[in-house]
Amino acid sequence: MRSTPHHLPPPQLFYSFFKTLIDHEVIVICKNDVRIRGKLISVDQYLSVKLQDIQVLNAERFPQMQSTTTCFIRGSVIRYIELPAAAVDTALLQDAARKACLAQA
Amino acid sequence: MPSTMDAFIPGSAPILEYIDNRIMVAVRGNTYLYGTLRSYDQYGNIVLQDTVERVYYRQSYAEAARGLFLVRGQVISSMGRVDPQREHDTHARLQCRAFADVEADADAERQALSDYAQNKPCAV
Repeated sequence: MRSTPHHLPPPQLFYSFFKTLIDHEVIVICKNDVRIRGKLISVDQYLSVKLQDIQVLNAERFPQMQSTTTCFIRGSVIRYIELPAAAVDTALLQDAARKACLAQA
Repeated sequence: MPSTMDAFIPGSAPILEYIDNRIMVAVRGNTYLYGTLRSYDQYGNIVLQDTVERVYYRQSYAEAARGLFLVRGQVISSMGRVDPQREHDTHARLQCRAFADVEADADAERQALSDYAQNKPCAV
């Protein structure tokens, strides 16, 4: 699979998908191992996210972030995002992925 | 205003509401800067005023004044608005020490952790 450089707008499927998760609680795991739980406020086309009411799950390792309540995380430093399973319609997502694939071919 | 700006500068839109606020910026390589956000552009480059670099080590912390900063968007990993009350509460519990000492302690611990991670027996 071809990875998308950060300066090019990537395909919009996951952007739309993450927009449906706005106002849900997610856990973001960054490449520097910070784990942040918070309410998803916004997402942009690079999959940068903005969280509110954040809680750093490994605060003993990262005390620097304890003084913040909202944060913006650049898409390029995110390793994983843990999603609320109840809020994800996997059948719909699979369907959308197929459609996007067909549209590209 | 926010909606038009959102469309105007793609990719860095959510930063707008942090402007003129005291924010925390995590820079790649374990550097944390605290300053007032004055400006940003479409690459996510930002200008910080009255910047302070802060290091933590166990029950202590230290600060070094750094002045005016232009931080390149590429090296920013995250940023967030600082809640003065939370900041005060956190620091009340910690001991303030000289910057060089805390930095040396924190570096030593990070080095020890990465040595351990490289030498530990393989799980499988």
